Amino acid sequence: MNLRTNIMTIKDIRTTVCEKLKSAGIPFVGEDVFCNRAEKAWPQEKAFLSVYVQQSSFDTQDTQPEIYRVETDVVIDVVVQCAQKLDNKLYEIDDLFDVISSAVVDALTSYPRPEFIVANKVASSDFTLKSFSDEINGDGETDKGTRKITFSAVWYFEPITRDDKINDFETVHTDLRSGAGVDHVAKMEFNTNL
Amino acid sequence: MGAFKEDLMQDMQDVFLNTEDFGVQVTLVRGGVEYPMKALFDEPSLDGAAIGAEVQAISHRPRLIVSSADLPGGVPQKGDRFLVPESPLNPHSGEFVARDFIDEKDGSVTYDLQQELK
Repeated sequence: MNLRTNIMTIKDIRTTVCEKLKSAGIPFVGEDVFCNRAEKAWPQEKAFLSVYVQQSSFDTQDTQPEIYRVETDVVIDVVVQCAQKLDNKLYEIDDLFDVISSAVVDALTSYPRPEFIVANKVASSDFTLKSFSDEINGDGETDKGTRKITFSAVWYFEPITRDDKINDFETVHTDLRSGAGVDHVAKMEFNTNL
Repeated sequence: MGAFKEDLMQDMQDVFLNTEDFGVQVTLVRGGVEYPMKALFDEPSLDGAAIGAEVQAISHRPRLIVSSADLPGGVPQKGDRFLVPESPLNPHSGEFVARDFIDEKDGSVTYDLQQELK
């Protein structure tokens, strides 16, 4: 069996979110979505997304050798430099933030929930929008800034075989019925079948 | 004194802003009127342009040095617009708007510029 380690899980999640945003065709951004980018932003780049994970919480690895459930903060930095034109309409930095970030939020939280394939497995995720924070800098040849969008996300992987016969071992069937009352006290009867 | 000042201004035109050397011919647009003049254009880099992201932005401070005698009324103004042509020395051409200026009182004015979308 291919055990999933913490670090590779985080990397896979990041890559998956990146691919999802690339394929979403975000206006002004397109394919310019980067994971954990360290390279500085050139003024010519205009608009791009940077995806990273701040904090993660895993299953207890003492009792769970393979990861089943991961909670993460997923942060998308919307980096925008210079106003841009689309269809003869001028979008200032503020407009660009709004257009791009609403497309990002839609891509990750819309209904029906988007399906995320992590390492060839479906990992259903539940993205919840947590916060926006803007920072704009007017120095230099262009106005520029970042809108930091933070999501909390829950990822479920599927290490357990979904097999009815196996699942039967984990199920306890309990019958519950009321028995004959004695002295006005109701009597409950349980019958548990393993 | 007058002669000295005139000499100085002439020197600025012939030597300092000489378009055969580092000068460029630019056009100032103020109030819809175009004023051609000579200028020096450069873009020193701006360190540490924090933009709130994990990545930093590379940015530059485009600036233009002109002779105050060439400016209409001899004074720089906020919102002055310059058309800077492309040249081998200056690949960064386009339309720039004055965000700030320093009137040096030595006959030159330094404009702090920001690029306008074409």
